[in-house]
Parts: sequence; structure tokens; C-alpha cells
Amino acid sequence: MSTPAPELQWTRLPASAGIGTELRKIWTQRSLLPRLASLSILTAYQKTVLGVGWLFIRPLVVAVGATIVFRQGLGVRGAGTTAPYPIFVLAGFAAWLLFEHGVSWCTRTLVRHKAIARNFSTSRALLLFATSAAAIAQSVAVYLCLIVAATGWAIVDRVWYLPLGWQTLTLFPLLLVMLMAVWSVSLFTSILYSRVRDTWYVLRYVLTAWLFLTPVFYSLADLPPHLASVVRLNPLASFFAVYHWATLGGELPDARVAFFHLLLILLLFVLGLRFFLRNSSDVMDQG
Amino acid sequence: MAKLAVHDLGKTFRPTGKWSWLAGLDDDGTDDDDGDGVVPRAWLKREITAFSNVSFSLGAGEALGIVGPGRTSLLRVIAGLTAPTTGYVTGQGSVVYMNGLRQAPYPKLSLRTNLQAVAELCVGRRMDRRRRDASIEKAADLLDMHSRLDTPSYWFHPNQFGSLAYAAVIAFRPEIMLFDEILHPGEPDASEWVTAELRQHLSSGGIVVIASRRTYVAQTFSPEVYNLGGNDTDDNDLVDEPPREILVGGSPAAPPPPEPTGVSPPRAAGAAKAGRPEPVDLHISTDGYFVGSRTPLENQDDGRWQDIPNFASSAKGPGQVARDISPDEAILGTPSREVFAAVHGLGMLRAVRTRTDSGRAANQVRPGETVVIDVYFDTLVESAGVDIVAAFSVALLDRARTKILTPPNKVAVARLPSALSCPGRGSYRASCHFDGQLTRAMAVTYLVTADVSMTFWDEAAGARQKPKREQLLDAQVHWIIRSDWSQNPRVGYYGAAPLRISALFPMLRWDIKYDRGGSSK
Repeated sequence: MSTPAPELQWTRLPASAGIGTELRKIWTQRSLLPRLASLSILTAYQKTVLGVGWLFIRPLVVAVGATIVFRQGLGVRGAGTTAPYPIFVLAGFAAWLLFEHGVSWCTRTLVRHKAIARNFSTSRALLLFATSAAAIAQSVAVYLCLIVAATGWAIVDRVWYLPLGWQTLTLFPLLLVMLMAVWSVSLFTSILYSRVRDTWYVLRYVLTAWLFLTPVFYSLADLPPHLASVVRLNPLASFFAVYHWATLGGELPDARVAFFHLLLILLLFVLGLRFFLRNSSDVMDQG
Repeated sequence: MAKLAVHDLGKTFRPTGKWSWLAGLDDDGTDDDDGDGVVPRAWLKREITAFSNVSFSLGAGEALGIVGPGRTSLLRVIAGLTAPTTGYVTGQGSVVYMNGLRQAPYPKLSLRTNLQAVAELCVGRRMDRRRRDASIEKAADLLDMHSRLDTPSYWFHPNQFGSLAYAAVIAFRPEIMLFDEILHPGEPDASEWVTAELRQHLSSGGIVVIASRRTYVAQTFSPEVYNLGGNDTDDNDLVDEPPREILVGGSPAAPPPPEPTGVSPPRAAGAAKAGRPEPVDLHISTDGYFVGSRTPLENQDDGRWQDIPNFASSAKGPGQVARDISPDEAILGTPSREVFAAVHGLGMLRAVRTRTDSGRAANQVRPGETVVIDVYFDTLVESAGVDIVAAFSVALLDRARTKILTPPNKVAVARLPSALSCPGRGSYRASCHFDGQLTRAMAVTYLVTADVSMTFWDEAAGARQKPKREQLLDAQVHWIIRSDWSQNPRVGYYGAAPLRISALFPMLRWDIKYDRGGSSK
């Protein structure tokens, strides 16, 4: 017979868990993260014919489409880097899909994983964080496409457009910031979506608009000054500029704006977590 | 060692009125006056107190039963699934709300993946892989499902998954186990094992809390019962002694149910005259489990009798403990998807017991007596096939006086007062009422219940008769559409049911025979 599990002391208090309590719970249950992440990835592409093939199809289609529309049609160059435009787009799209898919999956966490959220005492916030694993998988797939494309260009041009250097290391904190942005948004939208399914339809339009307000298909240097100043209001804009620099090299963008936006995302994350903790229990109680 | 202490606990569900403008709820009134099924906004603004001022403490090796309204909410608060409104709970040891194991959280994934997930989620941390897999293998061996662990979970009835998950998780011995209404999800093979494991769990310092509508269920492991107040118990509705053997695998205190007897001589003679093989008695096993009908099935078209081998062989004989019929077995014996659906329906049954009101076995019923049929089920129905079963069953509401407890996943008791003392189908009717809302799972109860009365004595013909199958079913289903269901627009689609139901019907028919002074009826 199996041995008893290690003993664990706990308390259930009247109020919804505070942020500190929840973070402690998440830390206690951190070993569940790989399991929840794998479930999130396994269920993401079930009942599809092409399965994980979709991880690669969409970025390639977008890279080709964006090259035709933005490069050939609008003459966007991806200023600030020497990389060919498709590589520029793929690099930006790897980060954008992390955000977009992350928000999409995480928004639907409490509904898609309802059986777990309702019947197990697993931290629901942990469940939401784990759900972003599917988006990370998507982002990694785009990176693979990017590396393949860069290899192709390296053979033709004899230039490697993805410089490896100390700036490459900043990709990891950038990834974390991007995940924080994902969670900041989806901590709100997951509750709203559980209450009202219209959230999902609205969110799709918002994300599409957000995509075009984020320097994914263009760089800030491609824009006229008055448009660039508008796009800079987007909290993701500065991170994408830093991200392009970390991936493709070029000139380091103004880090002060990025720092301000980082504070904004952290604030949103804290508020979102508070909102989530106050409402997730009610959402689950009401089925 | 495990500890659990509840201090002055209360739970009030907060009104959701502030969200109702987003949810498209009805504006007018407090009831669903327009019948569109949309909850009125005003209703959601009501504050509901589930329970209040609950205090108790349990130490290592102790068990407690909880009865009364709010018991499920209390278990969910203890399990940390929802926050209390007042008071607090302290505990030591991992807590598992066992009802969460009754359905695979990810039906498209394999049984093994789902079991690994629920095991780890129950314990709240990643587990040693060898230990985890060993317990899953052990559970699979117990239920003879070892070879199917890599099959998608949706292929199996929830009872099968639930039994596996219970067995796997109990093997881990989480310190505090919370049971809501039932102690095992329905696989008889697992029940004794589960009961023995829980007793061992208690003796090794664990805690078991059982919330139930019925006091005798709550008292399974301990006479200690905490009553949350109110009259939300069903003990007074039972005319029989508590069927403890059904729920937890046997109680020494409970007297065994009467053994079914063989065919009465006059009836056998009548059957021999008709040149037909004598139907076998209804198989009510000594421990209350009913599986399926061993009664040879009559082919209404050519008058011959036929049997379905797999069903016949799935029971061990009259008076013996039978087992559930798996969907696989049903498919082997019968090619149609409808039968598959029917067996899914049967699989939801925990047990069925028939008695006369004087305590005799149902097949010994005498004129003027009432046959009481208790049907126990515990699974929420999900498949489309079972929708059809449910639709048929609803036709039987008008002749079963029925008491339904809180759905889903609860016990249902259905009774047919004096059904068998009436010589015709029409006169089987009796008033019926509900205490709960109608769900598909409940409806299946009626299906099984009503089939008991399908055989009747035809005075004019002087012989035991059955209604023509197609006529009977068509009439019933049309009745559903015209009367009851027409008042509920959400079930209108059941109109497509008759043909499919006729395919289900043979599988679900029971014969109850009884003696009336030398003749049978």
C-alpha cells in the first residue's frame, strides 16, 4: 500500500484569497505546472486534422501575406534592421502570437478547464498561467520558422540575419514581460468570458486592432512622426522595438519608455489578479 | 495526522444582479413567467444562505456524516473550492472532493492521461511517477480495464472512469476524503474494494466525511451525523429498510432482501400451452444489483422468442450478484448504435430493487398489493443516445408516482403504486410529482421503472399479454409531444425519437410475474 502523502496545513478563510495567499498557493502547487501546461497543449489542437501543423501554417501564411501587402503594396521596409522583410515579420510575429494566442487561450481557461477549476482545489490563477503554455508552443514554432527562413537567406545572401550576442539574452526577460502582458489582460477577460461569451467576439476585434497598432509588420521608424507617437502609447510597442533589436540587431531603442510600460503592465497584472481572485470563486459557484 | 476543524462556518451565495445586464436575463418579475427558460434577473438578486453557524472538528481516524440542506456547499468550502462567507476551516492533510473524479476532465484524452491528471490535482502536487502509475495500474486491474487505459476517455461510461479514478486516488490515501452522496461511482466490482480501503484509511488515521440526503448513507462509517437543519432529507420516504448494501457494499445490520423465487406452476403451465419458452424471472440480485434482463425477448413480428446471448450470459443467474453490462458487451451482441445508447442508460443505474409493500419479492406479488420499485442511479447523462432514452422515459411520468431527489448524481426512488393490480395499460396511471427539476438522468429512472409494468393480464384473451411494441411506443411518444413536452419548448426535438426507441425497447423490458389463485396476471 502506498505511503501517506506529506502533511499539509491549511485554512479556509471567508474572504477571497489575497494576492499574497494566492501566490503562496501557486508556489506550493508549482510542481503541477508542467502537468497543467501539457494538458493545455494537448487539448489545444484536438479534433483538428492538421493538429500541430497549425503551429507552422499560420505564421507562414501571415509572413507571405504581410510581405505582399506591407512590403510590396505599402513599401514598408522594417527600418532599423538589415534583415529581409519576411524575417522581420516572422520575428515580430513570434512575439505577437505569444501575446495573441496567450490572451485567447487564457481568456477561455475557466470554461475550457471548467472540470478542473470547479472540482479541484488547484489554484485557478495557476491554471490560467499554465494555459499560456499553448501560446508559448506557438511562439516557439514561429521561431523555428524564423530560423529556417534565416538559414535559407544565409545560404543565398551569405549573411546571418539573426545575430547572436549579449542582446540575445534579453529575449528571456522580454518573454516574461510578454507573458505578464498576456496574464494582465486575460485575468480580466477570463472572468468576463465566463460571465458573458460576447467577450470572446469583442476580444477578437480588439486583438486585430491591437495587432495593427503594434509594430509587428512595421517598425516605428517606418511611421511618420505623428503616427509613431500614437503607436508609442501602446504598452506593447516599446517592447516590440526592444524585441526587434534583441532578435535582429540594430539600434537600441529608448529603454525609458519600455520601463514605464513595464510598470504599467505590472500594475495591470496586480489589479487583474485581484479582480480574478475576487470573482473566480463566484463564477465557479454559479456554474 | 489528519485534522479537520470547522469554526462557525457559513456560506451565502452572493447575488449576481450586478452582472445580469450582461447575461441577457429577463427583466420582468421573479419567475420565468414567459416560459422561455431564461432566469429572471430579479431571481438572481436573491441572496441564498446555504448553511450557517456550522462547527465541528474531526481528528485522525474519524468519520462524519452530514445531512440537511447546504451539505454540498459545505463540502466544497472544506475542499477549498469556494470561500466561506463567515467562519473558517482549518485542516491538516490533503483534501479531496471525490465528486470531482466522476467524469474525465478531458474526454478526448486517454484514460491514463486523465487519471494521471486527476490524481495529481487531487493531491495538489506532482507525484512520484512510479507510485502514481502503480496506483493507476492497480485500479485498472481491479476493474479489468488494463488494456483500455490508452483509449480516449469519451469511449467509456462515466461510471467506468469514475470507478477508476476513485480507485486510483483512494490508493494514494489523501488524508481527508469528502464524499457527496455516494461512495463509489457505480462499478460493483469496485465497491467492496472501495469500502475496505476507506475502512483501512480510517484505521490508519485518515478522515472521511460523507454528505448525503439520507441519514443511513451518511452513517456508513460512523453513527455521528451533523444535521445542517431543515427537512432536506429523504429518510421518511423510504418504505424499505435502507439499501446499505447497494451503496457501500453491505451492512451486517441490514437484513438481506428476499430471494426471488422460481416460476409458479400455474404460470409455467400457461406458458407451456402457448408453446413458448417460459420467461426467466426478473433478475434482482441478493445484494440489490440489477444488471439487465435475462428474460427471453419476444419478437413481436413473427411471434418467436429470441434471446441475446451477451445479455443472457452477463448475469450470473437468479438471485446472484450480477454486474453491469459494459458498452462493449452490448455492442458485441447487438449491432445498432441505439442499443449502445440504451446500455449506456442502464449503466447509469446503481441498482434496482423491487418489492411488494408487504415485503415479498416482486415476482411473488399478490392482487391488491403494491409493487415498489426503487431505482438507484448516480450518473449524469451526457451522450446523445441517452437523450433518446430519456425522451422515452418521460412518457411514463403519468403512471409513476415519483419522488425525485436533487439532481443530478443523486438517488432516485420511483414507485408504481398498484400498477400490477390493474388489467390494462391505461389504468397504470397514477399521479406524479417532482421535488427536483427534471433532468435526463432522472428520466432514465422512469424508463426502467415503467418497463416493469409492460406485461399485463388480458381478461378477454385469458392470457398474459404484452402491448404491441410499436403501437405502445408510438402512442407514448406522441403523448409526450402533445401534452407535457409541448409546454416546454426546449425538448421539442424529442419528436424524432420513436423509431430509435423501438430498437431500445427489447433490451429494457422486464417481466414481473405473480400468482393470483392459480392463474397468473
